[in-house]
Amino acid sequence: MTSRELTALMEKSPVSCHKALVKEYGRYVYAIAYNKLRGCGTSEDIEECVSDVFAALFMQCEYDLSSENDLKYLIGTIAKRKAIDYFRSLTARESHISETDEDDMRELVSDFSVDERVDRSELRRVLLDKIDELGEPDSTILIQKFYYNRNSKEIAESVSMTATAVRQRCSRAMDKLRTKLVEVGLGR
Amino acid sequence: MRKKNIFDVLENAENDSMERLIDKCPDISDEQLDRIFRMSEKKFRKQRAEKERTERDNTIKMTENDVVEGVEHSKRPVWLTPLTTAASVLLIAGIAIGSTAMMKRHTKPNGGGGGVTPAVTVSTSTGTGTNIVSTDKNGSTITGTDVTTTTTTVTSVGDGSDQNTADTEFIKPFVGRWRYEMSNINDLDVPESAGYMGTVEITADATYIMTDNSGNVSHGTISNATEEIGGTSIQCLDFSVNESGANDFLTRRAYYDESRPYELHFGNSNIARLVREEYVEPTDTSWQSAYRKEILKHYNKAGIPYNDPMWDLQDIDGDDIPELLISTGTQKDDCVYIYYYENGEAKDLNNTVQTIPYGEYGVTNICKEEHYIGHNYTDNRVTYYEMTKLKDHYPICDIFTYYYDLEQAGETPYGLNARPVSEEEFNQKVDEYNSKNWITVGRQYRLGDFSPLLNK
Repeated sequence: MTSRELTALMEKSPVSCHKALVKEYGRYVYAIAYNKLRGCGTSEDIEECVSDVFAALFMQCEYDLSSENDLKYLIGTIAKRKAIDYFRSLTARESHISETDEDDMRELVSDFSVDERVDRSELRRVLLDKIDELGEPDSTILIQKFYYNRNSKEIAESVSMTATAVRQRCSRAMDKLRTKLVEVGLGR
Repeated sequence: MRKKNIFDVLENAENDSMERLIDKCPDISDEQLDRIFRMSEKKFRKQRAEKERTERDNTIKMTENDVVEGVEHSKRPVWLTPLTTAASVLLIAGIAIGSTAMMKRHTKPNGGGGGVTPAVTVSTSTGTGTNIVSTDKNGSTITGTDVTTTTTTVTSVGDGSDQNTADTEFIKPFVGRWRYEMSNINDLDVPESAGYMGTVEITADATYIMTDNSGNVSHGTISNATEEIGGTSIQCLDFSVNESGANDFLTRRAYYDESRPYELHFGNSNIARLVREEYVEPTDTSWQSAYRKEILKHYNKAGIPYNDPMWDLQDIDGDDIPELLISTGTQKDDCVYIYYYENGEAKDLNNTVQTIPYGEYGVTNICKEEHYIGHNYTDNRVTYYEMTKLKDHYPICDIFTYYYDLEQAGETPYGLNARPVSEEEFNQKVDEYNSKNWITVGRQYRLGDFSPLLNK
């Protein structure tokens, strides 16, 4: 959806426009909020954050939407900022959760015998590369299972397989991933 | 606790990794999307109404010569008046009939029904000593040296003769059901602190039955006593130990004070008392009472999770009723909870908007002249400002930020309420923040000190 399409839709019916925005970008915003809040918030917190993003977007549409705006970029920016604000809010409320996750990082790294000096973003990139090398649908199954915490039945629906098949592929894919990580010095 | 896995490293990903994760995000169900839509729409309407209200307020300009005129007409059905009148008459008649019936049911039968009444042994002792009369709020004790004469009447079961009946006369004013209450802060002058410990039934034969708040029942006897303090004779009741040999109350002796006919208090302290069951503490809807209740809730958290809690009163919104500020401690993560008074209750300002609890290190900034609450900090990755205008008990919050990580990612690092803004706009907000006359508040009174909220 472009800004011009959005403006036209807003003039016709703001509520329909809002609904269309949530339908088209809901998954995108959810993924961003999930990425920031996965470790500190509940699913309700993530939904709250997503709804806050859309409320801010609706306000922008109502008062301050320039047709020059790249809509996806705008939504992404609002989502990231809101998610960061939520992260800070949630960690401050629960307090005592360290801000940069240094402790978590150390623990995580030690689990996989990784040199402590390995940069986290590099680790992220290598891990995603290795997951991608597994090909589809294995990469999607692993990400949905271990990152998005979906169960086999839910994953089965999204990759059009049976839950049993998902479980089998997931187990084999995880073995392959372990081997690949060992090859690059990220496992034991 | 959730087990960690290597996929946790994917959290907080930078843009390119994020895009890869978004591609693999499972579909959101229609039901969930619908829920998100409804929540968003609700928040949007609220924000829009607030914005319009603020804009409207800003455009209203009245001078001293402006006059407000007109009559607002209200319509209601013609039949409503006679109907409400009839209902009132019926209600009054019902109350009158009901009261009469209740009075008749509670009339005591003549004769009192014989039964076993106690025989009596009287012993009297006289001594001189120092009595702790009271303890003030600073913990100092006020003492007096007096000649104390105690007369104790020990009762035992007898054959119900007229003499024995006469010797249980002392108990008659106290016969009935009483609530046993103890203050969890050792100060019953804070009425909200009184906790129910059990029910005591005092009977005409000078015995009592105690049913504690766990349902355990115990029995004992009561003897008559008087104490002279400073030349004044004070009526006392001495409660025996129960059948297990234990005390049912804080102390054995309860004192009766004519100025408070509804209670018997134990010992010289202000910790425990018996209150007549029918006595109802007058309803206190003052802001002091509401804040006392709120502080008591936090008082119970002292130690865990609060390490060094304190509180404060500050009139931030200028309505002549101060706001209550509760500081959780003095560490960086410690914050200030702010409450305002409305309709007899203390309401949490944090719950009305999604925001970080106010302040850090257990204090926050306020600007009384302009009714702002403010807070800012800078570390090597974030510059964060929060400026909240408190208007009609509604906080209007501006959060303006600079994120180093966003700058490194080639994005606009400055933000105002999650919207990217130019450096110039950001700096304007910072200048506005710095122009306020901030004072640091939050830690004035200890959590157990209620004196600023008591009308002593």
